[in-house]
Amino acid sequence: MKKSNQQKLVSGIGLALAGMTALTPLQSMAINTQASVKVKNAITFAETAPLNFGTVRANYNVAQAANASASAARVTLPADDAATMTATAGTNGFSMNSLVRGSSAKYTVSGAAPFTAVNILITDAASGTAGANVALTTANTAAPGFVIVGSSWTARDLVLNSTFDIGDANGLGQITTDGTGAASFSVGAQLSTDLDNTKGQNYDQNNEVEYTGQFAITVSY
Amino acid sequence: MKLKPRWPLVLFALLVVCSAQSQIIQRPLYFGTIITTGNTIVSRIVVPRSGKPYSTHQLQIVEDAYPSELTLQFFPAYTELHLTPVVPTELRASADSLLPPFIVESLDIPLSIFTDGNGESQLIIGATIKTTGDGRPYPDASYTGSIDIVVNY
Repeated sequence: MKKSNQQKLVSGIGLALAGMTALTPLQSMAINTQASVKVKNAITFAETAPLNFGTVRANYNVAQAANASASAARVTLPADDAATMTATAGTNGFSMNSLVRGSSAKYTVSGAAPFTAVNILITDAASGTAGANVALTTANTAAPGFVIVGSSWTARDLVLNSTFDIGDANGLGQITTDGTGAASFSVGAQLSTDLDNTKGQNYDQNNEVEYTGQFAITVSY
Repeated sequence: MKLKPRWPLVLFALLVVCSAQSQIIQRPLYFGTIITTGNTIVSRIVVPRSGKPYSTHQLQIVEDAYPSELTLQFFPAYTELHLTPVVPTELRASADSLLPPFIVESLDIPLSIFTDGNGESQLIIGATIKTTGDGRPYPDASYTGSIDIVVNY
């Protein structure tokens, strides 16, 4: 009896091992790991100085109002603050001169991709249109205002100290970031006397009046 | 006499329990913090098993990116494990199906690995993901998914 039990136990183990052996070549299972990627396209963009054309003397000849757009006088504020402001004389009694130099608008870009071209787009805030003129107005809407000429925007890379235009076929300029994804640039433009041919008043010749307007500037890849 | 028929069953059950395999994820696969400068052409992030991760075309890696590390346990000792990647699969931002996914195009894994005397093995998994290239932008978000590998032995 004892020998018989041993035989059955051995044969039982043999059966179990045979079952495992038979299963082994067929073993298959799935393992997995988690995978992820984080997209961060947001660019940190800040204005460090607003656009300021300074103080000008200007004349809008009411008697020649119908010719205002054709006769407009202009001053140009370079993106380079070290450069001189220039004046373009008007005709038919329209004139403007710079009395106190203005200063370019300045912007910083950070958190962008390194060594990558970033598009700069300037639009008139009111219309949202690239290349459109930007109106500078005051509280007295009957008086003439000023216009930032939409096709005159220029910019300057403040790291490379090189000037570039803003306003290609898509209204864009481009600046390239450094190795940390940062860039800084300034913006200048040309200011014109009012192009409205219907104004019935001249600029206030006795008091200094502030004129303001808004443009939108956007950076993107 | 009544116990005799049960021996084979008990032994077989013990052997089956001991062969239950498992994995421990030491580190998940991370394609890094990236910037997409567009999605008009198919661009890729390549994270190899060894070596430096890199990107192509309209993608840029700005932080991290590293392969996954797994420990496989409770496999038979000194056994060759054949690995087959399950691709393609996708990394998605959320349940919003309108957002484009990143497509896991291929895995960088060995064809097979061997277990040690304890039935364990280490596995490093690299992979390549690509954009759809169909013009849809990739909004800022974390895109996640699971990568499967079939193990045969």
